[in-house]
Amino acid sequence: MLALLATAIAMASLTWLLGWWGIVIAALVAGTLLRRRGAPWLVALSAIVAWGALLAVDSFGGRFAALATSIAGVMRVPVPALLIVTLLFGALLAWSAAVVGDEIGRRVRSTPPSA
Amino acid sequence: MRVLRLLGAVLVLGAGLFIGARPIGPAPALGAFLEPAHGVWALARAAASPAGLDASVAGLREPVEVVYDDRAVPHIFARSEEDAYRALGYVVARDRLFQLYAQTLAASGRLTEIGGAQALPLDREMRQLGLTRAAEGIAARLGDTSVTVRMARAYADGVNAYIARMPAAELPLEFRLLGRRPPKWEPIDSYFLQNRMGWTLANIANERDRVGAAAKVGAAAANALFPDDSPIVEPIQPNGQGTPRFDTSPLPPPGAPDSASMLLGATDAWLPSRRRARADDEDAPWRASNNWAVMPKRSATGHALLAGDPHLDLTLPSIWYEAHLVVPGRLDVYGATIPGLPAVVLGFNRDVAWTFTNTGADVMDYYVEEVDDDRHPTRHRVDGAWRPIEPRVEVYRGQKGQTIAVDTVYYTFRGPMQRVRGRWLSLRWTVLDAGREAAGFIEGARARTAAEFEDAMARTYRAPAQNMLAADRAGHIAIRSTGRYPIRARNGSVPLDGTSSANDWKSDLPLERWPQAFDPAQGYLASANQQPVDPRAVDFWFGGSYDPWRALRINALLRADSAVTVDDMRRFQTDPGSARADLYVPYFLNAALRVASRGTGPNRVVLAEAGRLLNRWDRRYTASNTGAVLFESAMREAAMETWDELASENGARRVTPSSAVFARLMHDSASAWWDDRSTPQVEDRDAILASSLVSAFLATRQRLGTPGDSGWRWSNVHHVNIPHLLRIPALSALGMPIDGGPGTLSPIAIGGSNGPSWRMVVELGPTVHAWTTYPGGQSGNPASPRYKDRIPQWLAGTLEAVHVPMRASELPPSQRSGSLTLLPGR
Repeated sequence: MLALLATAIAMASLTWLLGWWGIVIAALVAGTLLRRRGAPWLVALSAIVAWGALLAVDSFGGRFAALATSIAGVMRVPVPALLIVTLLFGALLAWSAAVVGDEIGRRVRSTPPSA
Repeated sequence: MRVLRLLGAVLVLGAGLFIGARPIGPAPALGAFLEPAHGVWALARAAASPAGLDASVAGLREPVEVVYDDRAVPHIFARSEEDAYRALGYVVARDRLFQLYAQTLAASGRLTEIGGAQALPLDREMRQLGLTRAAEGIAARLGDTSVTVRMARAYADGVNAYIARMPAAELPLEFRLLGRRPPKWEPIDSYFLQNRMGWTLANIANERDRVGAAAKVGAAAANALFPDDSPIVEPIQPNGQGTPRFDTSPLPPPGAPDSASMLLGATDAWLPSRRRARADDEDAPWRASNNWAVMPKRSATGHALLAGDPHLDLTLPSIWYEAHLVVPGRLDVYGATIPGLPAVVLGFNRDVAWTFTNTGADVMDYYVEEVDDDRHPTRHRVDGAWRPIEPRVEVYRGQKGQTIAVDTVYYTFRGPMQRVRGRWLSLRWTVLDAGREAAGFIEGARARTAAEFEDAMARTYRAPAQNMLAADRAGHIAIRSTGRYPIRARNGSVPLDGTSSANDWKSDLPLERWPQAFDPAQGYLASANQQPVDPRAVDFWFGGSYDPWRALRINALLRADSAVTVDDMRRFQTDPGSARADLYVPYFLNAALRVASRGTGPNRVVLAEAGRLLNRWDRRYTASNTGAVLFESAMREAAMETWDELASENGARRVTPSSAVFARLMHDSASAWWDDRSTPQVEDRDAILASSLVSAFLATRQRLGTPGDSGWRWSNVHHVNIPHLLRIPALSALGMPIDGGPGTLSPIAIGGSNGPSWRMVVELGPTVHAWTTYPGGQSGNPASPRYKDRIPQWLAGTLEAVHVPMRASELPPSQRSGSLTLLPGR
């Protein structure tokens, strides 16, 4: 739980600072550091939490529904589909980056220290 | 297994990064678009007015305070005019940034940069008309110290300051969809926009139709069917009659085709392509603008009242943006500005209110040129001597900056040339010589009396000519058709011989001969695109084509009301009555009775029922009305059957005389025009009207069901559509029922997307009071509650009282929705 929260906070912060690349970087690092079974899935869940929280911030002004309806209309998709795509996009990026990070971590850890 | 998972992850990551960073087809790059901190979702945070924000603006001399009221109107308090217009640029950019960009592309012939090759015809139109070159000419011609240039630069400072500090969250949705960033705003962009308005308001449809008609029925008949002077005259400049004058003389009968007109082209070959397409608009007579003012002696409160509603293409966001600019001791102007123009175009200050309608004068002439080289002309002949032609290369760029087309536009001293059907035509047009119009608005905003306002505009304003109505606190009212009217050797209704300088413009009509009136005895003034001056009073050819019906209606309403209230002024703006229907319905009813009594003609049972329905109609075009559909259908049928001599071959558009000319024909029941050439018998007026009524009834019943049912409601055939600038349905407001119809003061035309773009009523008492609305909202952000919040009140014909504080502190917190302070910056 703590790892999930910490990763989500990192992802939200980096997204705020760097844009969408932030989630990739955070996931890559988290994948490298988290040495536990199913870590990439946890990172993906963190991405959903992180971007979900940012969407919640967007909705504070009360205009989120109107905006979602407009964008969904422009893209010709239902509003829920647009939200799902948004969260799924972040989650997929995070999962895949975490898997790559996990692999990098394994290799780094398995490399014998040089003499 | 691990390898497979890694491989899958790499593939997913690669694909995610690719679609995240690159647009695919029309879809934007998804990463930046969907990301919730700065992407499209962040627009929800940007929907509110700024709350106490500080921002720096380059060039600003002193701090400017901006307070947004509860209608999202910015009140700008500055210490110099230039700072006020800087701040205006800033707040307009904040609310309408994409509109600024899109309008500039359209006005400068660069729509291909977002629309690709399919926008090329529109861009070519702009550049071939010479509008882009003319805008560059303004920039070069006006000195640095001119008011126009100084304010355009100040405005650009403001726009660019906003662009520079714009948080990522505020990037408008349209830029995100197009994958673009807003470019720097240049002062010339304001000139582009100014010229574009000149094109929007140009008017030459009548001359095209006259040539087309002459090719079929001869010049004498064509001149009567498409006259220079309206057959129904109640001019803008009152002629003292106090009632409209109808031309009841018989129309000349159809004659032999005019060979010269046939040579000129069967219909409209001599008009450049895009102009021709636009003039083909069957709805053209529905285009409309109105303004009127009453003197204290005819107002209930004893104060002058003024109302205005210019009709233009309706879009979201709207062409207008409402703002208030205050510079103590110098400027205090409230009204509607066009995003991109450093000026309040329609509005009021503490002493004077003003509003415009389009004069519609013909100030655009074509000349047939003799050139030295038909493919690549370098000289043209005038009075036997060769004069140089200036080539100008026009490059059209695509979405990625690639060249998609290159044209050479040639210019004679008259203006740009176009090759039409094997001939080179050059264009002379007042808009191409104009440039100081913004100065007129800026100086007019400081006027203290209606006369001062008119004079300020007359000093600098040239094109497009406008019927400028003003009223002041002292109770004076004035109207002047301000603009440049060239004096020609002969009227410019057909292309002129360019080889003779005798056909060139000689000089301009002097101000004292412009249509105008000050404090008329009748106590009110009204313009509704009717003929500006009684042709019996002034011997000058203004050209154009004029629609009299709205003028008849507003003049009748004003004549009948000697104690006009503010609410009357508002009510008149959406009055559903029609002088056109009032004139024609009795003719149809009498025709039905006479034909029925003859015992011949069309189906008598149907005719009787159609007559009963029409007789019950109250002649009002309300959305729920069930009689207007039948009348309009009968009018169309009658025009088709009557003007069969003008029918075109090969399915081409037929030219149709106006309903005012048709009214003239009504007085001659046995005119040759009534005869339907496809039948053996000779029809008269009553036969055609009765037959039209029967045909209309049968067609309407087939299309809309049982007469009198809800299917016959006017709202089933008459809607208003307000499209988004990019024609995106989800961002538009479409298919809305609304009152109004042909001949009413508030018609909706052009596929339902042309209508009253701004409505304003001003009472000029000791303290000025005003009420406004427009079909849209202050914000261009679709997520904003201010995107289209004014549409319901606009549809209902109501107005909102505006706040006009003299100081920021006069606007109480309960009437504020936001504020920002602009600070001098680098």
